[in-house]
Amino acid sequence: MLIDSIVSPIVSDWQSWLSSGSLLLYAAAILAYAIAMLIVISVFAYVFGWVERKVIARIQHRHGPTYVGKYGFLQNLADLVKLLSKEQITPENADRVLLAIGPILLLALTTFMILLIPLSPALQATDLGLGMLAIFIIIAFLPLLVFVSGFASGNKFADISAQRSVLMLISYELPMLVVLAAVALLSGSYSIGSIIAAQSGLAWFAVVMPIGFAVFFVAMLAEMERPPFDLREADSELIAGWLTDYSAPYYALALFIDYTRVFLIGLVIAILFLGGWSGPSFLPGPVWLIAKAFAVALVAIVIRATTVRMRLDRVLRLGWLWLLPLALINLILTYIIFVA
Amino acid sequence: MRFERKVLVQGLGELKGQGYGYLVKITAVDYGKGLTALYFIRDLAGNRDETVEVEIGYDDAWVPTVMDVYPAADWYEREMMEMFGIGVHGRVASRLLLEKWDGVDPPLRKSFQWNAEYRTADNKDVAAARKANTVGAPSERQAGRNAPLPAASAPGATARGPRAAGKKGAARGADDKSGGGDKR
Amino acid sequence: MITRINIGPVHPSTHGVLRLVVGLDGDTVKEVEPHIGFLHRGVEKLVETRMYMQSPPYMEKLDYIAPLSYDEAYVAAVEAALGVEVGERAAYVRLIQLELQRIASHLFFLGALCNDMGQMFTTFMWGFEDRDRVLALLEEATGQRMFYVNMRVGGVTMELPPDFSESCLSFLTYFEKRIGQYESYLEKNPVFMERMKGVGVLSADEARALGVAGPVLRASGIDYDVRAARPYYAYKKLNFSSVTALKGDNFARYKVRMLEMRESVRLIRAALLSMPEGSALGATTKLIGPAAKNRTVSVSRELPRGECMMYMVADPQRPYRLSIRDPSFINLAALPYLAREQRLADLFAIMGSLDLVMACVDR
Repeated sequence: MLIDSIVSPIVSDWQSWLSSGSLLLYAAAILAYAIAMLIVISVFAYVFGWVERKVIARIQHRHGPTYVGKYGFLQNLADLVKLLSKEQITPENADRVLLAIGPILLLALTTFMILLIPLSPALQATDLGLGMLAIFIIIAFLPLLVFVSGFASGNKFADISAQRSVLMLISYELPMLVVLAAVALLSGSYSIGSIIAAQSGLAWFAVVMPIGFAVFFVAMLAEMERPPFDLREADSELIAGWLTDYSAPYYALALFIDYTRVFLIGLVIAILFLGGWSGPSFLPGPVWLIAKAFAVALVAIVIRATTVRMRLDRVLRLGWLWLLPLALINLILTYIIFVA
Repeated sequence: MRFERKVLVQGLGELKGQGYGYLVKITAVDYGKGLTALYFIRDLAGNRDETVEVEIGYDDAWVPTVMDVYPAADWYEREMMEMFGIGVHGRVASRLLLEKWDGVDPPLRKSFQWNAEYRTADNKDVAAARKANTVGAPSERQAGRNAPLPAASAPGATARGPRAAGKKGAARGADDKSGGGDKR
Repeated sequence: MITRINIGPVHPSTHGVLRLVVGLDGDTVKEVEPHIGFLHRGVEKLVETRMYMQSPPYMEKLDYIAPLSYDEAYVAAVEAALGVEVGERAAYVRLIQLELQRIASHLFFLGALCNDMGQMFTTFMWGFEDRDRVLALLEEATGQRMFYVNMRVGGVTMELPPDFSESCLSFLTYFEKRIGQYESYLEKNPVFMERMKGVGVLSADEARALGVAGPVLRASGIDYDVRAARPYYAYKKLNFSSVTALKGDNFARYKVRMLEMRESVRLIRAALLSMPEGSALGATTKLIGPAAKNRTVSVSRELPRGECMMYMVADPQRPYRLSIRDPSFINLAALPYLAREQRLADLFAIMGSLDLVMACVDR
């Protein structure tokens, strides 16, 4: 098709840069890929933000943004401009360096993880044999940054709410890793390509291991810190949240981090359970992958609109007493049914 | 039903024993010659109401606390203390409910002056200026408004925050109020 | 070690301006000290300077969610003082308006409760949509969406419009299904149920001792509803039955209000179908009217939030003293007791379930 004829020469050029021995070309290829992915992430974040506002509004029998741009599409742009134009106020006893570093590093790491995810077999910047595991290792690092951003505020309530969030995040990592192990068991390796290939061979893992899918989805909602697990922002309703001492540009950054994280987790779930980039060939692979990530995000939006917030002790109870045992059961069942 | 002040708690206890276990409200009325504290109690099961009246004078306006008989009396008594200046003896010193009345007469008494200026002691000149300008020209009223603010070391409430002033006042004991409100 | 934090007076919760100084030990609430008075307008003193019928607007602002109920309570006290009887049809019209107001108020409660628990305004929006329909009905009946000032001595200001019955009945049919939808939507949500069941338990003895009012009292098992105990208007004729629950936790308080909404629907339907003919208009005794006959009167009404007792010492043309016993005041006083040893997140759920309105508290 037309798009193919334009895109494939570019992609093959890019691949030749990658596989050429020259470090310069390789670096240029990686840079080009990073820039392209950043554009994709930004577009996704923007569109997702708009969709979220519209969908939540529709669920609530409202319209959502309608004035700015057709169907309110430019609303996020207007909000971004407004936020960036506000004054930066930092409280006295906040640690300025950490205050700045926390969200920026959070964004950087999330983006980095997205860079590790290939959009199709052709568009692979790296082909890590342990691709998925690397992503999860970096995910495990995120609670530290959450803690830093709370601690740096100098505000003890932001501190406490960040600590609670960290508790939640680390409790939910373990079920995720166990489910990941089950997925890797079926695919034979942790690399993304082989996971997706295994799904093409067998069936989508969402169907093959439904328990694992459910556990993973719930755990990922917690990782995204979306309702019903939005403890960190929740405390902003009650006391003061982590965002209190972050002035407007950081608020825009925080939203961007939020959406980027949703994108990342949507991609992860799409790859692990929904077949990744495989799909009928009338749309190219990357489009399928992003579409599936978007579908996951849509479900998260609907859940956000309709559920109340969970209490911290219930959240921890859910993670340790329900998700972890279910993930283990899932692993054992997968071993029994498919390997043995 | 009228009780003397000294048998109030005992009388209410007896009524509670007869089944009036629910306190509806404690309030007071200023009848011009004295205050009357009113206790509305109810028997929920038997659906009977009872009103207990206690007459007290302006000068020694106090009643004993009935919190031991009806725990619900807490806030009602505080409100009565604040609005009528009726001291309630025997209870834990507590903040006034509506914060920061500064040297104001108890509002719900008939002696409360409607159009007077109630200010802290240091703002007397502002108060006098305003009073003199009841129908004054705007510029004169403006002058009254722009009078210099009292110094920061004033014993009034502006120096410390409201909570500090409130706590100090409360710690002085809310149960020895007689007549006018507590001068803070 | 107790850490004191300050919540409010400006906060996203919809109850009004309330400042809570909460003493925390970790995540457990050790003490709660409400600071009120931000909305104090001195209503009890103000009405002493106004003639009787100049005061209903003050009374209405005492509860901005259900203004008609305060209006009616005050006018009922005035009628008792003047010795005026309400006409038959007027009694029915008042009952219909009061019950519509109750539905609107409980819908607000529902939205505010879910909001406090962290939902993104969804139930709030749905509740408000339905509340808007009720307010449209009341606008048909009284000409105003809020702050109706519709009560006059002996009746109401306007007759019900001729098609009011139809629109009201069609709303009721629609609304009955909606209550079912709300209930199933919320009660099948395990997260919601987790935060409601077993949280903020108030036993019957505690409720009686603390003097709480209204649905809070009835949810703890004490069956006292002014409409059943001292029936007024046509409640007795329409066989009103009060709603009680036993557990006394958040869920009981929520459920009592949901069932009360159903009861209101039934009452309005019955009243519309059996309304007597005649005139519902009250005397337009705006400023000058018959002198008061009784010196002290005490009138109790069941507001959506609880029981309101108006104790009035009546002068010939104006109240000598009006003492308003409002339910939110004493319900808020029960909050420090209810919230002890609970988690901080539960404090808000409890506060939401108590259904407080600060204007009521502060007067």
